[in-house]
Amino acid sequence: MAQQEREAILRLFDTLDREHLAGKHEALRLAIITLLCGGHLLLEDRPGLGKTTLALALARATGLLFGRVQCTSDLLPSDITGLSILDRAANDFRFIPGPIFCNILLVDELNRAMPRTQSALLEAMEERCVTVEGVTHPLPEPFMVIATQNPGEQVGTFPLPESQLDRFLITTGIGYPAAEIERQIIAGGGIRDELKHIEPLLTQEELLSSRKAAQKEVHLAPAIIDYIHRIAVATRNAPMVSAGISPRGAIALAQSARACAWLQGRDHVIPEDIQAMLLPVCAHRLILRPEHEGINKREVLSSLVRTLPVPR
Amino acid sequence: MPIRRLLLSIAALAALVGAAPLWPWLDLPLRLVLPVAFLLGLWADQRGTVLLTARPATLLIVVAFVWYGAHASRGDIVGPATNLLALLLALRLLTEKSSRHLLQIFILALLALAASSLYSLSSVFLLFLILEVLAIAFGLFLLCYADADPQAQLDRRPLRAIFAIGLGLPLLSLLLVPPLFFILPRTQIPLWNFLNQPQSAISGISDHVEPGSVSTLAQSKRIVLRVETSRQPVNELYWRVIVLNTPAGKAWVRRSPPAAEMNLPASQNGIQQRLYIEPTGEFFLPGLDPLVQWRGLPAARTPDSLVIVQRPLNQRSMVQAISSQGGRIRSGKPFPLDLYLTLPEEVTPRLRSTVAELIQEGDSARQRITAIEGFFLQQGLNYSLTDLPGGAAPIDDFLFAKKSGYCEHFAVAFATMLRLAQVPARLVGGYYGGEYSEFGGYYLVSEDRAHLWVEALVDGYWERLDPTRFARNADSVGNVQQQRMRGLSQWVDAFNYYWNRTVISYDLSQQIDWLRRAGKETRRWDFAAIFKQSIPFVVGPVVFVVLLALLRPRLHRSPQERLLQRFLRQLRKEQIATDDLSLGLHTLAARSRYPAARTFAARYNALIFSGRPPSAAEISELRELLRQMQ
Repeated sequence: MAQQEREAILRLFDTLDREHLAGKHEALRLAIITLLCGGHLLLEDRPGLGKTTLALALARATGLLFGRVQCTSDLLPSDITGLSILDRAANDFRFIPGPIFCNILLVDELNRAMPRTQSALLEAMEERCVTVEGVTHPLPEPFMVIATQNPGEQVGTFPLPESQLDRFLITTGIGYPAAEIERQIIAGGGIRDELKHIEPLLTQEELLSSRKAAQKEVHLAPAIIDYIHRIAVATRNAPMVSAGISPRGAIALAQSARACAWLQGRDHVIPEDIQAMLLPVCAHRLILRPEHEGINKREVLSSLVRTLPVPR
Repeated sequence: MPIRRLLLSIAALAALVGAAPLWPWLDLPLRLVLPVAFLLGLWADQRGTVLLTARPATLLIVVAFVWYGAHASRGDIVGPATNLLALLLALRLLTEKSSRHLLQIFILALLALAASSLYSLSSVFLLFLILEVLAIAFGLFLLCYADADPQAQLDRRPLRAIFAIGLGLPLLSLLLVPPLFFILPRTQIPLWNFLNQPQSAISGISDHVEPGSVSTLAQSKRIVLRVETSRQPVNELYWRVIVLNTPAGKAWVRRSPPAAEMNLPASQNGIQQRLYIEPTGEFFLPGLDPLVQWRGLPAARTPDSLVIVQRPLNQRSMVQAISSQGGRIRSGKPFPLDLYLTLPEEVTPRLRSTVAELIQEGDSARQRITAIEGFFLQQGLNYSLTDLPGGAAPIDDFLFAKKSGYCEHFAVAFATMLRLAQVPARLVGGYYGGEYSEFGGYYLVSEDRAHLWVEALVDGYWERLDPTRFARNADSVGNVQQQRMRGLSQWVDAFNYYWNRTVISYDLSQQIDWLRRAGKETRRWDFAAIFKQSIPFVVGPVVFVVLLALLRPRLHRSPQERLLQRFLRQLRKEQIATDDLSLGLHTLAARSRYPAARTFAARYNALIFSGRPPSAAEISELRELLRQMQ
């Protein structure tokens, strides 16, 4: 196993967790897993819990180029992707790249953007390139979108259709910090300024090679593949669910389980990896039947998994 | 385990099993040489040294051949042959053990075991035979491997496979033995009889009774007779063997009785019995007094109701017989009574006058017998095996002085007095009583039950009279250690009995009998009913086989699976619920209080999910972790 890369990633994780993002352990871990899988992260939680802080800190610590888009209902696709303008001197159209041309893009309050903009963004996320005026511009590598959305607020929002949610590898909340930690946070005040001083803990090369290592060096046993498949089939057959986990969802689950195992220093995926990644990776992918829409998807999924025997 | 060492142990076992039954029959020097050679051979195996090189060994073998060849005669082949066999085995145990020599050890051991059956074929032989067959089969199997690679080491797995085959083949063939035994045609007379030595008869019965000499007193517990019959009253349990009719000096011997005495007794209401007779070397067939009919051995009846076999009883033999009841034998045509009235030399005046007084009471034989019986009672005689009367006139001494003696004194004194009173009388020797085995339904008669009683001719009938009954302590006579058969010994004896019954005495006539009965039985069979009844017996095994096939994967677990089950058991001991199958081992182990449990889960998962084949080291590490959890 590429021990070096793993140590670098763990160092990043530990430093952020200990010094800058106290109380966001799980969200941070999931963010790092997303990074290792080359996926995108959707943070779904109330305002003021540190969604932006998380994204910022991650970008800083990884030394990656950070971009940010604040979504509003009048945000246009070109505001994200960039646009071509006429260069008078050259007498030609010149492409001005939008904020999407960065490594870590924070899309704040994604559900405030109108569907047109949303889909432009999501398309870019999936394709990892932007096509403007017939010209395709590849996005830098690594590229990761951290989108946030506020679940409580409904007025003036355009909730993401479930089919679009599939594009996010992981959806997670942050949750309120533990009492002791929150007291420390209150005492210490915000850390936005502090974030500017975070030194990069990781080079881009290290990140890319650990991404490769996490996917290549971790063995996915046939029994585990079968387990994932059984879970996917079970969600498809569940009575409350109208659309279960798609093959893409199953791939995402396998990928993230690999990253999860890699982070723990294992060269193989165990059933607990799958179980740990199942809710963040798969819950948002379920589409429940209209009559059951009020039910928490995470509950549905975890109760389903409890009926399936793990490979031993 | 080194294959060579295993092979040497097996060879030693085979030699031991083969030679042990033969050992008691060997000559004294060989009885010493054989165990010494065996122990030295073991020691040499352990040390890896050779005690005897090939050349002196060959020389010794040649010498032994010449020596024993010179000693063999037509009358005695078996003795020298078995001794030679034992010597060869002893030499082979001492020489270098090459594959060829090991093979020779196996063959010699088998021959030795076979030779022992010429001497004695008890039920223990079966045990030795099974052991020997197992050892040799296993040994030959190993020999094939050892011959190819003497340095080979056997791991557990190949060892187990070799054991399974080495045990399986002989066990399978042993299963075939019983049917073959019953089906293969038998000879009426044992084929190897001519080889057999007449055994020295050790019998409490002798054809020579001499009161006053203790030599005839048998106290051996040796079993002489087993009799399968219904339970009989104790006062009928007289096993008739011999009749002594003539006093010769101080002793009583047997003379041929007058042929005219011969009668043909009625056999109605006779007592059916199967006699299993241990070898005695005698010609007289024992049986419940008196035998009327018999089947199984060529024998003839004497005028005084004895049965004399044509060949001495040197083998265990079985006789089916019928005895008449009541202790009365009808005499034949009138015959001269001189033989039964001859007086012994030792008749003292005191005895003569006593009888003369007694016969005044009546003229008939019956009255005289009653008078003499009364006299016996009156004398207050004691039954005793110690402090016996002797001297020049032991009978006189017994009746008037010592007043204690054992059956011979009682019987001889009684018979003498009857003859003095002109009542024809004779002595009958045999056994009295027997232990009844409830388990086997047979009487067991041992040597120490030897007994002597009297028969007197009254009104044309020989009547059984047992004067020992008039002893003051008569009750103790029949009770010679009644408590003999208890618990295990009863089972062992019963096993011996069935061995004799089914194996030793199984001969051609029984075989024909058995076939005839089987034929008769099958003719009466109702096949529809049999089919109906046998359904459970057919369906049962089928269900069993199907279940086995279904359970086989479960029974045939891989080492990993077994480890997992042990691990889960261990967790259950900690009250951790393992029946939730949706929980992985990692999760379960986290609940255990043993750190080893977590390590086990991690290692086990690595084994299962990393796609590598498990190594023995990993498996044993897991075992070690499980041990730490205990």
